[in-house]
Amino acid sequence: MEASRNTHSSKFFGTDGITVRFGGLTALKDVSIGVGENEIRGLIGPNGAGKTTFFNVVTSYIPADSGDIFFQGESISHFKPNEIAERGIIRTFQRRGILPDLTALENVMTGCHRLMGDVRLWDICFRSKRYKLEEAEAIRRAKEALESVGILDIAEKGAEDLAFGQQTLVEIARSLVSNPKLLLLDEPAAGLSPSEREHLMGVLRMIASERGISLIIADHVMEFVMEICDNLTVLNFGEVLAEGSPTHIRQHKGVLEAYLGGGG
Amino acid sequence: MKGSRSKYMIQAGFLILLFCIPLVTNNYEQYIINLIFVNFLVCLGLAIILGFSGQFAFASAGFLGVGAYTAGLFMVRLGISYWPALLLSGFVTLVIAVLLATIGLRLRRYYLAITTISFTLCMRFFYVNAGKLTLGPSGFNIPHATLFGFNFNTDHRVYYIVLVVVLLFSVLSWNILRSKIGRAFMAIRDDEEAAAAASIDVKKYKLLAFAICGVLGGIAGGLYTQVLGRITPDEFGMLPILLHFVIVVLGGLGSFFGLMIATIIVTIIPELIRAFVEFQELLYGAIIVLIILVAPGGIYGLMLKYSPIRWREKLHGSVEKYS
Repeated sequence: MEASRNTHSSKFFGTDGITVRFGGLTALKDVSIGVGENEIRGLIGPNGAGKTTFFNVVTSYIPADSGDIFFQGESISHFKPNEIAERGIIRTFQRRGILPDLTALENVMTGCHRLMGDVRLWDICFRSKRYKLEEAEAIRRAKEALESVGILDIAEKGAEDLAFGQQTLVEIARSLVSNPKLLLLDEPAAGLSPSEREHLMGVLRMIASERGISLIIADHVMEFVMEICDNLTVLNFGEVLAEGSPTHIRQHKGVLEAYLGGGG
Repeated sequence: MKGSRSKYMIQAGFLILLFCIPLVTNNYEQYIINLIFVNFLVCLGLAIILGFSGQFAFASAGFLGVGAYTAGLFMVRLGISYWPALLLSGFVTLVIAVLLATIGLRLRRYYLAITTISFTLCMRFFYVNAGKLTLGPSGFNIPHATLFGFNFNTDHRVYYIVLVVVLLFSVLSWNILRSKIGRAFMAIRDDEEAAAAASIDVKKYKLLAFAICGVLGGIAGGLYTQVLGRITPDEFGMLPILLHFVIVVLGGLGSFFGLMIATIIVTIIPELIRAFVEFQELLYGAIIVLIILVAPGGIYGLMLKYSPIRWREKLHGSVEKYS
């Protein structure tokens, strides 16, 4: 056991024995996952298996009761959410964390925040040249990100008027604009039409292969996850049930039981 | 390019119009207009903290009071001139706002609302009871501001101080709100967790919203001394809390233009019903209920809904300028 923990901490991203309890309920139990560079990892499991809880712990929205999280050799379990984002771990939300009152472009521009460090309050108040340059740069990056996910044409639309699938892409574009190293996507395919799903798959493959970003995708939609992921981790009642390639998982007995309710 | 030129022409014309207002007003009308400008500035502070950053902080009346008493007491007690006193009122209120924020950031929603309202009422008790410092419940007269021998001793003259200062701080606020700071505020208001995921430091920006609200309230307080000529603790009690809230809600939370119109309406109404001044609170309450029932988005919401121009793009399309 100890040996396997050490291998995870030396990986690109890894968790070591994460345990989270909500009162009497153990939401995550001794979860150790290691993800390599450029890897697309699927995180699957029935409802309530702990997928979103896992994301919440990694991005520090809720504290782990025990265990540790490593990113590029550094322990990040004591950082605040925005500090974790600053290190390049960006997440999306199941409920779509878009900002309804802003346009799609402005939504994506909020993602530039960590790259916009040089401008001071003074620059902003008096619209200094430095401010204008930086704002123009943020707009350029945001447009580029919108284009790379294929929705540049809706840049000026209010985000709340967008279709759910477009909101998903806006959120992904916002994640991309800050040059992340690891993206955590919470149910990106949920509620999408088959053609939107197809488009999303192309976008995610591009992100991994062209930009060299690692992905962890938590989702219910099996054929989506099976097709796009290099490896899968199956959670069940907060525990890692199985780990391996999609073909391996497809034939895994315990997984079939958990999903089909094999009553075993 | 042509479009931006006509925009500058409109802005210049509007400015000239503002500077010409005193030519056509009598003293009383000018006094009301001065009041509108001061109310606009302090409500802008409340709109930023409540409407843009989404914190239920009703401290604007408290900040107004701190600003007014700072300027007033420095002038009366220490005999310093108005201009440094005005700066001090902004600075002292900034410090108080940051102190209040250190408590406020730990609280949310109703608890924050109760705490900030208590702050305002406590300050009023302080003005009333700390008579040795604050000259007690009956307040005190404020000396007129002077500049190179020019005495700002009429409402028409005071207007120019008010106009310049309010314009300056409005432009600064506008610039702040249409920058990454404004986007961060709205991100925090809409979804704190998503904001943090975009690496926005939620606490830092909430503190900044408090600070901006404090400075605007404090400066407005400093101007208030010249507009009123005399300040009493009652100017900074429960009624102004309500007044500012009504203005911000009527304007539509988080909108600049709606706020302007709302300030004008709500400042003028009590003057029209002078005979029934005891019913002011009742009226404010009725306005709030009516807005929530009829137009929850306030004036800004109505503009979005009924105007032929697409206001959202106009007001929020901050980006086309530099691209």
